[in-house]
Amino acid sequence: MLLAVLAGLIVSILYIPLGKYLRGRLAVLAALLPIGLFAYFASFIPTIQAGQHVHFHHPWVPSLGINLDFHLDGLSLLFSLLITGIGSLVFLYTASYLKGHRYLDKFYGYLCLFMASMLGVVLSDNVLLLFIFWELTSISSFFLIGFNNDDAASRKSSIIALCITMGGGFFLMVGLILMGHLSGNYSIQEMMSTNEYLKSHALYGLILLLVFIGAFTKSAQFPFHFWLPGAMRAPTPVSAYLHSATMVKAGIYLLARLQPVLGGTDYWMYPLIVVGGITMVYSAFHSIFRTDLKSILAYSTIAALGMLVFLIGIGTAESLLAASVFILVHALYKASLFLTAGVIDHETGTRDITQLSGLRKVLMPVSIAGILAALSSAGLPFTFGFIGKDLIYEATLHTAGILTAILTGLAVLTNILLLCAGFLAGIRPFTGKLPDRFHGIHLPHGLLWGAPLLLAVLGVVFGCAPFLVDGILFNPAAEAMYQSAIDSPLKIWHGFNLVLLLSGITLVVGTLLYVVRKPSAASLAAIERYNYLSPKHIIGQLARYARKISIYYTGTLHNGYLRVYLLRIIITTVLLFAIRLFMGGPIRLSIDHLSPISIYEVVVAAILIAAVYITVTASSRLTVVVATSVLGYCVCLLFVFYSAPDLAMTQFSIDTLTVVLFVLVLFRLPPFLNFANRRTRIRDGVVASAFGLMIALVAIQVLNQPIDTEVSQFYGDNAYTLAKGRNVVNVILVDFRGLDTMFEIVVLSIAAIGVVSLLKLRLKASEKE
Amino acid sequence: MSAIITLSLLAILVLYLGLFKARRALLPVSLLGLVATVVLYGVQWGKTAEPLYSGMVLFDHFAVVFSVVCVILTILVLLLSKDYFDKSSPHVAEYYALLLFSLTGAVLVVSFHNLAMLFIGIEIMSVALYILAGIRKKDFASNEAALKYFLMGAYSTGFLLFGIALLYGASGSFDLAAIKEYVVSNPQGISPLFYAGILLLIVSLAFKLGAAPFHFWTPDVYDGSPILITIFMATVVKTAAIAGFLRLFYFCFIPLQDFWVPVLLVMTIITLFVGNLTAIVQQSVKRMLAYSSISHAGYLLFAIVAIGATSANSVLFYVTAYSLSTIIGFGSLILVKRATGSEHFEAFNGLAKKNPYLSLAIAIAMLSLAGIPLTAGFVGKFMMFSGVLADYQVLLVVLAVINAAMGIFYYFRVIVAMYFKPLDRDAIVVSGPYRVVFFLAALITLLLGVYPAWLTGLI
Repeated sequence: MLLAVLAGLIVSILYIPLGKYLRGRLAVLAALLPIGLFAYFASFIPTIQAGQHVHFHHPWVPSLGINLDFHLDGLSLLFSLLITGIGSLVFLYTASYLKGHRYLDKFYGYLCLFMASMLGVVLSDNVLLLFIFWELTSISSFFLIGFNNDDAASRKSSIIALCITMGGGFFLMVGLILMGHLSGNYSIQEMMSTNEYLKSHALYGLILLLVFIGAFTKSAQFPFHFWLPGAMRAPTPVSAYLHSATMVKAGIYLLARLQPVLGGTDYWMYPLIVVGGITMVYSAFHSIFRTDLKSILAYSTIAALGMLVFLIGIGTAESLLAASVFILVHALYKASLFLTAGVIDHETGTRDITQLSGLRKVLMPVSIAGILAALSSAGLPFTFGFIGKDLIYEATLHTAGILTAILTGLAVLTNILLLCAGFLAGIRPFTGKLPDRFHGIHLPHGLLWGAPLLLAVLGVVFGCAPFLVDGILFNPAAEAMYQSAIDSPLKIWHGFNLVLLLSGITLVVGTLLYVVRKPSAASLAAIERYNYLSPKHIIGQLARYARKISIYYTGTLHNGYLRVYLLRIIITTVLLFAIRLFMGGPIRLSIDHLSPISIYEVVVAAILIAAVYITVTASSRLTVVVATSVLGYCVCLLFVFYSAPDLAMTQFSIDTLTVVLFVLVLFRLPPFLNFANRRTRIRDGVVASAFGLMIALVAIQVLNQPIDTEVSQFYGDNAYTLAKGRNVVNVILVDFRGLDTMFEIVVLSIAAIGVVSLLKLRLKASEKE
Repeated sequence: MSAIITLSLLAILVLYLGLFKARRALLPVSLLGLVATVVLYGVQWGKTAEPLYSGMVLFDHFAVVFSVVCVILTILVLLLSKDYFDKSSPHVAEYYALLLFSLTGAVLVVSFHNLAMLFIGIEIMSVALYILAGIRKKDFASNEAALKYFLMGAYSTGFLLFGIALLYGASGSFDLAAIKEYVVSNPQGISPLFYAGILLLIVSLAFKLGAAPFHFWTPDVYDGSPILITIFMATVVKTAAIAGFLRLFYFCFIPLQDFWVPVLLVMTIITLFVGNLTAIVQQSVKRMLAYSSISHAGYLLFAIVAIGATSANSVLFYVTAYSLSTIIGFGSLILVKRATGSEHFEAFNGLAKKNPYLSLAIAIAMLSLAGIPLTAGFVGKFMMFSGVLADYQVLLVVLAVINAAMGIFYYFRVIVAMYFKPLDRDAIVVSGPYRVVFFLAALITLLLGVYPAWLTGLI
């Protein structure tokens, strides 16, 4: 199982060195991988049908709780077969579609990487492992969307798609980690046993929100849906494979998988119904206005995804069964429609449906594929779509109370619109008159039309004989979501009842709509006038605002001025202290323990204040330097008063040196410019006072602290006994802290050398002048 | 301890080599010395650690692992510096010696057991860098960077000293064990001074780490300095700063969590937003990396907000992943700038066609910085997030996720430029040492991403 998941990864790595041999005729060989994997997963069908599950465990990073746990049950099997089955056809199709392309090998490499990660997503039992694969699908999708990389729009849409899906992925990661923390382990199967605890926990709502964001971004739900139409710039096989059949269903898969863990509450149900409902109606409505084939398909895909979310939200056995059937129904007809669109694009060079018509005359097998697929999407009897649609109506009709009418109404409306969209994409290009310029078209290589035709025919086969698949695929899949046995074989004929009536209404109204509405550029332009209301536009606008804020912020706050930076640091520090003081209760400042103030101190303080005033107001640098030196000397005096002559000495020499340095440097500075205006002065004054006040408060608090007198006691006691000196201060300076003194002298000497070199520098400069 | 001695002697030896004009020997000798240091650390591994030199330093596993990370990062930086400075100045010995001194300081910062050593380590580390930032004497940007870094650094040193003094005033010791003892034994009677001291230490350490709102110097200095010095600052210095930060807080301040966690929480959130909002609009890759390094400082702070037994491992992992990718990012920028003369995103256009392996390495680095699975960066982010979630700091994580999403945008711009933008350009010549560094860094990034257990159980 591990090998099966990682095979794609290994092959994609092998493509780096070996790719150049596989660009030509051998390219078809790439399809062997998905075909082989399809056969491998198909071999599990009997086991799953018997109600057993397959579990594989390989330890990987046990310390972080990430293990290679794979779990295969009905749901995983359905998805695995879908991924490998459609993958096989897409691989074959690509060999012909991109024949002779320079980077065909790279393309296959990305496709293999994608397939491996998608298989990883649907098979992982460990949520973190699931997340890792989940992000890898986004990465491979990024490279595939950007594959036509000469196109600026293509680059842009690839990065939008990546940002949305990966950003959503990070939210999902947090949600999954939270789930893991609360339930004590990261295995989904184990989480099911603690689901009651999870659902009753206070963080349940948040977990749901995070998981929903992850699933909605990936599965292109409103309001994150807009990346999907943009992603259609990718080559058509990619659109068919990633952006309709598999990758965008990863979000659906996740919801289906977590349904037994998190589901069953109102918080789970209503958001899903609402978001799914809005998405399906909104984008189904949009799909019929498009004129670009792939755009139509993109919007109808979003609508189908919305439908799936909606069905999972309802959460009854019927709706889950309907969801699992609809996954396959949709994958079959939508992939087929995409691949036919690819052929049309490949052969005619346009995807504009206002220009395409009558192609059945030149592309007969393709037109059969397109029409069959369109009929299946319409839900005509004896197609698979019919069964899917019946199940959906049955599911909505069996909901309780007022919901029945609303939900059924929504489903009918969506289906009508989808039918019309399906006809536009699958029937319109082939009917009518063939324009002259398309006469020269020949039927392409068999691989190109064989793949969509096979998918479309399968849709009819399953539609006529649902018993081929129901027991082996859908019932186990729905059971995995519902966690109890479901046994309702799919039927082609339910008898005359409300469901049939609704199906009939859908068909008739949808066909009428198709006949009446002619797609035109004008109506597209009309609807695009409302684009400013669309989420894409709003989010784009938000991004622009963020950009503006960011530019403004960078320009004003990171303006490169040191003084501004310092100001901010001071303000922050003062704020921190203010908050601390505020939180720490009343400030106790007592001056009881302090010594009385003498006249000397008063005088020195007065000089200090005068010096500060001069420093702030002076207009010449020299005055400022002198005034600051006065400040320094005053501090020296204070040290002397409080019997700290050593400190006073140090301070004195340093101050002198500083003044000398200052004066020397002053000569070399440009003239004094005063940048400050009144406002900045006041601001600086306020900030400086606040900072000073803060330091003062701290200092006074320090004084209130009981002083540990052991140190001075020690020196007093031991000055004579240890150092044979009577003057304690001297002994401290030259003996106890002799090394300190020595280094102070060294520092002063170095500073003196600096002074000398400055003096010399000045001389040289004057010589030059 | 022998490692610190080796480093200091090595730096002096390199200075002498410069004196005797043995320029060719500079790089080999420095590398040899650094490898010897790693070996000495390796020998020390596993022995019970005792505080050395009156409790000045303690080489426990934490210190050894982070020192080795710093030394290895320096080896990578030195490898990149072959030929880098020869062109601009004949005095290259100073460059090597100063880097080694700075590294010595960094090693002290991660292994201190006494606040005095923290101070000395930070100063040794920074003073060497003040000079290194301005090592291109004729370049105004380089001069400005050096001066700004010096002035701001000196300013933050004031806070550091004041903070240490207040802690000393309250607890009566510089020794970490004694301070811890003070905190533990006086649950009610912690002096207000002590709290003020913690605040001041937060300010100064956040400054060294480059966390908002004390981050203002980072973009200017990173942008102005020669790229190699920027690499050193963004990797080794950041590693040392966060390790020292964590060491101090983990050792001493855990019982006072309720006091300082809210402060750091707010700072972390501001840091994340500042880093990412500013990185988004940058047109220069160098400035983008500089601003984004601020946001990484924010993620690193997660480990301190959710401080606990696993914090050291998360920091180790995150900082290793971040540093390796940063080396590739800035290192490739040196090459691109040399070839095109520009540091803008456009300079990377079409690189993948001509230099597929270089581009692959850059792509891996960007993926790792963005936190994409199967790279080391993802595991780092995962460990940080899950650590904080274990503390139920849900708001922080949700905001961080928004930031992580923003990060994707600007990191992928480089990838888009390299892979998707067509441009006919000449292949860039990647010299041998650069190849080695890029190969090693990319390989380790992937290996750690695929099998993180190699690093997660170390401390």
